[in-house]
Amino acid sequence: MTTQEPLLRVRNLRTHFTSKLGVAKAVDGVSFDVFPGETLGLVGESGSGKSVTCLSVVRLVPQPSGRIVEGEVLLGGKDLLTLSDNEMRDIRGSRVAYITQDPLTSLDPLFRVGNQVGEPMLAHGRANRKDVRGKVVDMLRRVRIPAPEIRATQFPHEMSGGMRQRVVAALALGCRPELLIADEPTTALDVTVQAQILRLLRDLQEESGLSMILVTHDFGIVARACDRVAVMYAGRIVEISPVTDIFERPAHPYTIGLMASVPKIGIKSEHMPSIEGQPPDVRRIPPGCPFAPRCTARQDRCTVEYPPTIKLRDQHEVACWAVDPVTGVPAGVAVAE
Amino acid sequence: MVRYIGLRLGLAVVTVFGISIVVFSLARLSGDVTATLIPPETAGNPEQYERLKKDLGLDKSYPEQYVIWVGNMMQGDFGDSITFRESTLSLYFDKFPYTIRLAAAAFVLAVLIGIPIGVTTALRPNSLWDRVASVVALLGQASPSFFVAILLIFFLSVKLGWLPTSGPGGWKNYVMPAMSLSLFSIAALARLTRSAMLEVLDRDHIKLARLNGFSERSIIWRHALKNASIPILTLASLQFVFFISGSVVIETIFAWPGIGQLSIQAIRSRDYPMVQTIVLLTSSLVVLITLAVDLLYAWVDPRIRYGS
Repeated sequence: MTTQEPLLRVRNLRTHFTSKLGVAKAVDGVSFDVFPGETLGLVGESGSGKSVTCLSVVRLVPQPSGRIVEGEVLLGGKDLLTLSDNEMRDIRGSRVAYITQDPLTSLDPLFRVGNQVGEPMLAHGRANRKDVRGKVVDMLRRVRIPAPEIRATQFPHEMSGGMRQRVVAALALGCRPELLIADEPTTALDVTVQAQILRLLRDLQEESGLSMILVTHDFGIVARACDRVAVMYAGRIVEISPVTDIFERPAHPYTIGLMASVPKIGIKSEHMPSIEGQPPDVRRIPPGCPFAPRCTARQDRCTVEYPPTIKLRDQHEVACWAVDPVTGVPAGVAVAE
Repeated sequence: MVRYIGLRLGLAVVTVFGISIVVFSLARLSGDVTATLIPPETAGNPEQYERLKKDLGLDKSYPEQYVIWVGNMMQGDFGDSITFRESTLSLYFDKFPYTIRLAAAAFVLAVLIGIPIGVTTALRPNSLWDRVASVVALLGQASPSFFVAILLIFFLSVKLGWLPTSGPGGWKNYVMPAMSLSLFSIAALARLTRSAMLEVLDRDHIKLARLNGFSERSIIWRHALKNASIPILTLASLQFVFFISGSVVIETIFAWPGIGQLSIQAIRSRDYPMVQTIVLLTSSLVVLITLAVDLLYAWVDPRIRYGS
């Protein structure tokens, strides 16, 4: 994979929100690549900038307060940030598709499911009035919906949550996009359905060679569904690594804390381990590393200067002063037990 | 769906029945009808009083009167007008076309102007266009229709001489009555549409549509407007009802020979059979419109169809 050209290359992306209370730097200098056929996980607490990063990629940051102030978003070598609005709309749904969190609210309750699934195909000229019906049914079959001819004529309220998320997947993938952004696609579903949807996304990816960005706050999902993972904190990527490597040798104190706070089956503990303190207000990010106030491995320079990104091993990068660049081990991390 | 329609129809019939009781009672609660019909010179003549009472059937008990009235109506006899000596039903339907045409004109204006204003202002809240429209809408809702009517007559007829001041005729005669009748509704519809659209445009399914490249026209005019349409339908139907039943003032100002004028004449001359017919038929029309809107709701929102 390393030798391949990335499908998506994001460089130094900054997205800020301006309000009366000040400028919120929701995304503040994010760079990452997504290679063809791989799944990149984007992990972090609420408000760490995962969703805003994804919305910036398709240029649909909430208006009028949000604005992409800097950066490059290269899709197949072309910078999306320089496209006109019309050119950008043509990319959405055809080359980059999107799945949102809550399948119960993300379909229009007043339109038949089949009409909604067909709409991106019609909008992007992948189907016409005559053949759209057949293509919709094919698509519903591809996302493993039983009796797709009947389901196509139903309304969203006649379906379960898992079924609706399959419909959303069909809607998003109808134009055979190269990149799928899935923003917490399973958070609103119960655990067994979660597993089904993740497996479905995996299968679809294998069938079509699709690349995926999977936003989640759940390391369990990362382990199951991702090839690489980027950990975000206060609008920046603090660590990015292949999944196997980050589980074996996490380097950033924040990553270590985040993994430690996942409850483990079979291990009884008096209290849930967690990271002390709160993420910073993105309107008032302190100088230096924003994680420093909560960090157990804090050094003096952490509150002065943001650490540079260091390459540890193959594709494993971290931004932390405490990490030894040679061994990749952070000095002085205490994990609450 | 069949159950839903059946239920609504049943409710409509019950409502019309209830209205007939109210109309009947109101006509008799307003005082002794016979006494008010007798000229003052002959007021001292008890014989004439009794004869008139008997002629009108008012000497019978109230339940009897009611049953006779309803029974006659079932056979198409709504009673004769006292002043015009003619069937109240045919009088009503002579005047009805004028009122319904004016109401339709006002309704078309309200919908074709009010809803687009509401949609376009919701797309760019706090823009210049939004601010201008909201001030105009506020003025529109605050101006009494008779005042607007007089201003229009003054400028468009008296000063500029563009439009006729009164009476029915060609399309020019509709302009001012329809405008003054609908100004309030244009403003009300624009404001309601704006707030309903703002709420809908923020929903997840609209976001998903944008994220997957649905055309902007489809997002706004198909998905968002349809989702915002339930409150809009409700208000629009109420406005239509208001155009039919509430055009009394406007019909008087523009000498429009509709139901409004007919009711004023009937009330002035204590023509109670006429009043009863007007109120009963107009109310029934309102019930019919409400029924139609209930069915429209179910057509727009499938969840209503299958829900209880």
